[in-house]
Amino acid sequence: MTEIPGFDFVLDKIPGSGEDAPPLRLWNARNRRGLIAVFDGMGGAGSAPCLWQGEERPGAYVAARLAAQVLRDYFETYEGSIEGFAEGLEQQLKTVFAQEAARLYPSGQSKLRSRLVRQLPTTMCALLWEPLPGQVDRFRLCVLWAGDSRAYALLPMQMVLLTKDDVRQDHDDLLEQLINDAPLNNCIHAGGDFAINQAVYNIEAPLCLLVATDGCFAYLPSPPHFEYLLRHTLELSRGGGMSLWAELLQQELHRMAADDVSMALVALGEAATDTALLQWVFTRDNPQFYRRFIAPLNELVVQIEKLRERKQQIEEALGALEQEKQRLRKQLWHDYVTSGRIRQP
Amino acid sequence: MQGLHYNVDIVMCIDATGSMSPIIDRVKENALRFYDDLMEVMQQKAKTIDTLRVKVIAFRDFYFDKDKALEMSPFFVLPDEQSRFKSFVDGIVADGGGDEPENGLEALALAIRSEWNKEGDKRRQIIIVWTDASTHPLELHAGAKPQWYPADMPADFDELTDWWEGQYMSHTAKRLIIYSPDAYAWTDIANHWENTIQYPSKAGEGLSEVDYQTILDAIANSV
Repeated sequence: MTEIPGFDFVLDKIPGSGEDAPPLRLWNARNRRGLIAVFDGMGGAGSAPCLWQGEERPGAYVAARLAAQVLRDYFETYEGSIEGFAEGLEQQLKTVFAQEAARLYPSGQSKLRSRLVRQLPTTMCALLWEPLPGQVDRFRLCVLWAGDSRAYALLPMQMVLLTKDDVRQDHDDLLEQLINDAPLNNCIHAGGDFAINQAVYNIEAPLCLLVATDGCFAYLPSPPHFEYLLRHTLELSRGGGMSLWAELLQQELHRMAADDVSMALVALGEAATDTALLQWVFTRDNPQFYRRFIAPLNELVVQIEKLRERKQQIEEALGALEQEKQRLRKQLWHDYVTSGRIRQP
Repeated sequence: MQGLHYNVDIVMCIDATGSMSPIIDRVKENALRFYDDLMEVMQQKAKTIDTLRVKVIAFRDFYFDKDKALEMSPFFVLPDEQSRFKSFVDGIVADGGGDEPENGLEALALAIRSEWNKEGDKRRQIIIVWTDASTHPLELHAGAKPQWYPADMPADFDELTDWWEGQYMSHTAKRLIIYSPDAYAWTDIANHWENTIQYPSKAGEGLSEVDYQTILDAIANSV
């Protein structure tokens, strides 16, 4: 656990059946370097079960935890530069995943032939940071990822996406990605043909760094809703600290997401040490942000949901009337015949 | 406010030639069961489905069965039109076809060209093929196609590949599941087309529950 203010959580969509691994939030005091990371076990691509620590688990569940363990071990022993972190990590992941796949699936691959199905598939998004030497509130970041889990820097008046999703899609537009749910073209898996992407940034506090699996942002009505969700729940926490912020976020995400969610966040800079100041710095623009980017779509969505509800009520009423029509027609015909008003051959 | 909604379209291509007789009932059972199983997997993950539609294409051999070579349903909206869907599937009889190969690629082309639902937040466009046979090349008897051969079919396998990669279906929402032997052109499709899963066998014979679940998960969840 780091001393830097922050939080992390994992929330199973179905309790006990989640595939996301518990996030990492680490601080290495020796080399004054921090790490946050999330891992989304890809249940769609790797649901084939295996025996893991005495229990039958989907390969995706195992993959997320394996990747977390490899990253944790690597981080704790790594002494090189922040820029060189990815290279050795990628090789380490390939070696461990190949070994574990051979052990967990002794009979080899299933008969299915597909590039959609993989052994031990998981995403990873990790963010390392260290203070820039001799500079106050300035940090060097190294972002590492494979798949569609994301890293963001939340600034007082801006949201910076630090990663680029590994998806098979013609363009990078975040709204298109949200709607399309495109298949990934890169993730960690036992087949070994994957790459760990890396990007390095210098950045200035105050800021919150966060990593999140797609359950956090891919089921919201639009991309700005994710930024608003972060700022709005911080505002609602009313200076109650990181744990309350995390709790409110989890409540909202549990309601909205159709997937497991996991997130890790750290707040850096002087403002982060004072929860009231942190809230003021990061939420003072909320009313304008809501009016401009959130409210118009929300209002429309509410209208659509109301109409959908009415449509269902009308369809149910129509169905009931139709049944009654059939019954009544039969009854009246029977009465008509038995009354003697009609004579039939 | 709820999260995003899904619209799911499924087109089932069923080989209805005589050689399918020993297994046609199981294929029909699997076709009817597929909707329930997919719904269950999607609901387990709380994925809200707005509309789910199913269409069926029963295919044989235009060069042998003439006007009996194709039976195609409209899209049935489920669960409202469940009984019409069941009646159509129940009415498929394995008959004709002559010897291998059959017109599976034409059925697949018609499936790709379906009137897919383009509305809603998130979509799945799924084609499933059950067959025990290889396919005629599309260019067979080019210029002298039988009278009942569908209009505007792709000229060859490359053009059909363009259809799959092209504008008819959403690049990201489409999935193709093939239960077929390792034979022309199914294996080429499984090896070279995006977003496909092939289970090499006669129309899905011997499919394990684990592999079936894997297929459902690959359709319902992100991959």
